[in-house]
Amino acid sequence: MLETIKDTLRKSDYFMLLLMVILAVISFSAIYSAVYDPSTGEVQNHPYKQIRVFAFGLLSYATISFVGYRRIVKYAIPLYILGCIFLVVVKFKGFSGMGAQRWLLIGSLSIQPSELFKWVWVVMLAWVFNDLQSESMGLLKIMRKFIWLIPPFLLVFFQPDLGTAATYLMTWGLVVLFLGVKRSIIGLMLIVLFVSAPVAWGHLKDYQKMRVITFIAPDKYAGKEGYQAIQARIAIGSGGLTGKGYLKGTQSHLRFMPERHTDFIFAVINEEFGFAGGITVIGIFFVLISRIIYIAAQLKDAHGKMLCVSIASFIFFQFFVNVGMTIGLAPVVGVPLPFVSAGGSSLLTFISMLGLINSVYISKAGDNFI
Amino acid sequence: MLFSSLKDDVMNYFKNRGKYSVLVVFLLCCLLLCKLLYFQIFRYEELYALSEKNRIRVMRVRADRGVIKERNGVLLVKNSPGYELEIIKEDIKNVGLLLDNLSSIITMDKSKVMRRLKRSYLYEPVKVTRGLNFEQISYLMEHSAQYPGVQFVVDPMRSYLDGSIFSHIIGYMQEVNEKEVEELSDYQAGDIIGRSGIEKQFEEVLRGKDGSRWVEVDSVGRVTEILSETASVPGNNVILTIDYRLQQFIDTIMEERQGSVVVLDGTDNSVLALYSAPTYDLNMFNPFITSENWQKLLNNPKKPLLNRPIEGAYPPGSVFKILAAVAGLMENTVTPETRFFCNGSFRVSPRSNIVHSCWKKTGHGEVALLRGLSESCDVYFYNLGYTLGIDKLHEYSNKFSLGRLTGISLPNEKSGIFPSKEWKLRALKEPWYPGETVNISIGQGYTTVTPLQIAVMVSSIFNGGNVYRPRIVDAIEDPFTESRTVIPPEISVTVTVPKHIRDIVMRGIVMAVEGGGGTSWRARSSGVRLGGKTGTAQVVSLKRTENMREADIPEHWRDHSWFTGIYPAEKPRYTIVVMIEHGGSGGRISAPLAGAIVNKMLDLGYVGNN
Repeated sequence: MLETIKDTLRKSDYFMLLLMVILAVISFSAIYSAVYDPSTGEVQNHPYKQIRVFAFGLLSYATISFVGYRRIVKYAIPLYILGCIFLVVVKFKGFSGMGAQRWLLIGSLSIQPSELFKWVWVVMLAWVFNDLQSESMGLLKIMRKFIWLIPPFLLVFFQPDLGTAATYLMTWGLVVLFLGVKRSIIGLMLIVLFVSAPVAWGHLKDYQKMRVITFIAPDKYAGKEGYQAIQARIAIGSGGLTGKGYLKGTQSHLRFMPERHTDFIFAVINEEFGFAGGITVIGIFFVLISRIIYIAAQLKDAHGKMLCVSIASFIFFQFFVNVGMTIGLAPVVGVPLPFVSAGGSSLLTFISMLGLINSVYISKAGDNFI
Repeated sequence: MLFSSLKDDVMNYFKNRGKYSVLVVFLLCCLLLCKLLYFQIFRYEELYALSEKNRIRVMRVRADRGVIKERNGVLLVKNSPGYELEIIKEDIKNVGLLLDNLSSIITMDKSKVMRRLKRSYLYEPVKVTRGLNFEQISYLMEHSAQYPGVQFVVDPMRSYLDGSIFSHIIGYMQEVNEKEVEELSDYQAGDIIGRSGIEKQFEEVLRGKDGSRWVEVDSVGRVTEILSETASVPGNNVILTIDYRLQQFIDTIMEERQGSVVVLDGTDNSVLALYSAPTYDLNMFNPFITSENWQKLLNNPKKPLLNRPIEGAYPPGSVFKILAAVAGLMENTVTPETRFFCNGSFRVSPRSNIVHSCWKKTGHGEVALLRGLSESCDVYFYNLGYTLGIDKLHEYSNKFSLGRLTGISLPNEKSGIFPSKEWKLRALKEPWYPGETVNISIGQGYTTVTPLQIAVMVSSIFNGGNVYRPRIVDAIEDPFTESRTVIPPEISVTVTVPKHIRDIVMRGIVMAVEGGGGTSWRARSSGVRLGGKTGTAQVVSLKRTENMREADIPEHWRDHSWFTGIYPAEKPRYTIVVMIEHGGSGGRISAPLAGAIVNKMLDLGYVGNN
């Protein structure tokens, strides 16, 4: 037992841990600034809550590293079923916010099962895609792998939480793309997308439709839904190269944004630290994602590889959509910036994902690594 | 097999895909950086200027609250312009200092304003106070440089035709509390909401729906562009069945008395007048009530906030005999010819040691229905009620609305109590003693009723037995088209009272007003014949006061004084109830007041020769 702990500590990926700590520092500072009230000097408790969750997340990170991803992937199916049950429960027993039924109250903690399910989903993806081949996948194989997506996707889509449902779908899609798809199938998928888009549109709530419309024509709807997009743009642009300085961006329009400490945290960073802040965050994510893929490439075990790919896909997708939405490259959907946006469930989920990566990294000392 | 090592070809394939993906991620990151640079370098100046100068704000477009009119279209409550002071957090440098400065000019609750500021967004105006006067505004305008972030908003205030004569009907308004702001999505801190009367009951009808306007403002807060707008929807008007002139007249004759007046039109139990004394001035709440005045109202022993006609429950005394007579006749317990001998007292059985006495200690002698009613002989009704039994008394009382809510569209109505066997078992855990029925028959005992219930009872008996829910709101009016949606009359119970029974009871109570020995002669009116019945409801046991002279009895020990009348006697339509708390005998105090009101209705053309 003691030996295993020592072993875990000795073989851990401290570079990744460092990246995570840097992100945590950025997160704390940005959230602090976002909820800081310059007229009274008061700060709401979000940043401190973030720190507490981070500490708890490290515990989860260490536990997962210690237990090892292999034992976890073995239980992928029960985990998946349990996760789906939670998603059903939240539909009926959860309480709602922002038009959707998302939260579940356990004791005094409000948790968001659809966030925590992301962790289950990457484990599941590793299990589903473990039959690695040295060639692109055919239609039948893809269809078989698609089945697993349907239950969680529909459950979350009808919460309705379009953003989170999209992360499940897109992560799956990115994993498929990573593994390679025959060209004919890419063409087929595009056709399906075009056909299903109007159907999906019909199922969207008005506020979700407005987000898409706003993305296409933000200026026209500046008064209402485009408001956040425009405010975010002003915040980012006014930051310039070096920003207005820490806590100095507070006089600006970020104050208008109800979700500045969650979905629009990247705008806060850019207003106060300018391009320097922006490139730092983007750079860290690039290094983190590349490192995960690097670890994956060297590993001999299929599950470990796929776990890395799924997690890299997840982090990349959320990072790209969140930043893209803030700077007007993607519609305003409620996707938090991994590790940075305020939100306990999301932070815990992503730290636990890195826990899995660390456990994969540790295993490189064994026979599975080149 | 599960965790087997991969073959070299798979490893290499995977490695290539990995390199390829890192490249894609890199390119996409570059795309993000390009877009960032585009905003932060090429559009820096423009966006920086926007962030410094232009602000986008949401302004509320207030919906006008509906007005309240009486039956002839007289505006009882309308809106008049008032001014509110708001502050915008974003424009304030030092909140504490600003509030300190402001509080030397205007009255406000600083801690409340601080709480509101804390909860609002920077750009959102926060209400500081309402009802500014002209001097305050002009002072603040002159010294506007010292008060950054302060703005004035026109805030329609309630304006009353008269502050006190219909206070209990209209009801007062107050600011919403913090809990309501959270629970009611349409209300913001500082909004006013109906707290009593029609203003409360019809809050949703009157309020309307606020609109909103997104605007761009420049650095001094001037609107430079309207980005989008949602129009407000004004509230609807409420048309009452009340007659302002009648209500006003009642106000002049009530003087210092404490009590109620109700006038109903029996065709559908429309309320022509509903007066509660003492009253209070609605203007005390306009724009807001000071805590000193509020305490005064709450602690006033005369309870001016109580809407006595519907919230005050009293023993009915002899006015109940009208119902007892109708019930007795309808159940054939008595006929008009049935006689009882009154020697001044009544015992349930010759051996009983409980003596129920008649108000006339010397006795009325042989009494039949007509004289029983006109001279209000207690012994006659002891006999009638005792024979009829509590079950039947309760059944009829309940049908004619005693001891239950009449259903008038006003908040806080009380049901009073009309006892039954079940009620006593439930409330007092005791069985019913037959002797108790005796007291109930003359409107004493456990019974308490509201003046409105008595009015509904009388009105519904003489309209043939249709117990309408009293109507105080005639219609809802659209503020633009003035088209009215009438709120139709609603019958809660129907009891067919045959005409011969109504006629004989009417004869009895007309005799009470006109006959020599009648108790109600002080209600006589020269222009109209009316039937009337007095009631004197004991507040304390007779034993405590019977040896005192009336003037020596402390006021709160004095009897409640009732009078109810129905007129014109030939074709009964209007019912009046006058109830004066601790007024002493019904015949002496309430009957003449009722007479005066009937005469006023004669003047107003409700009844008369035509």
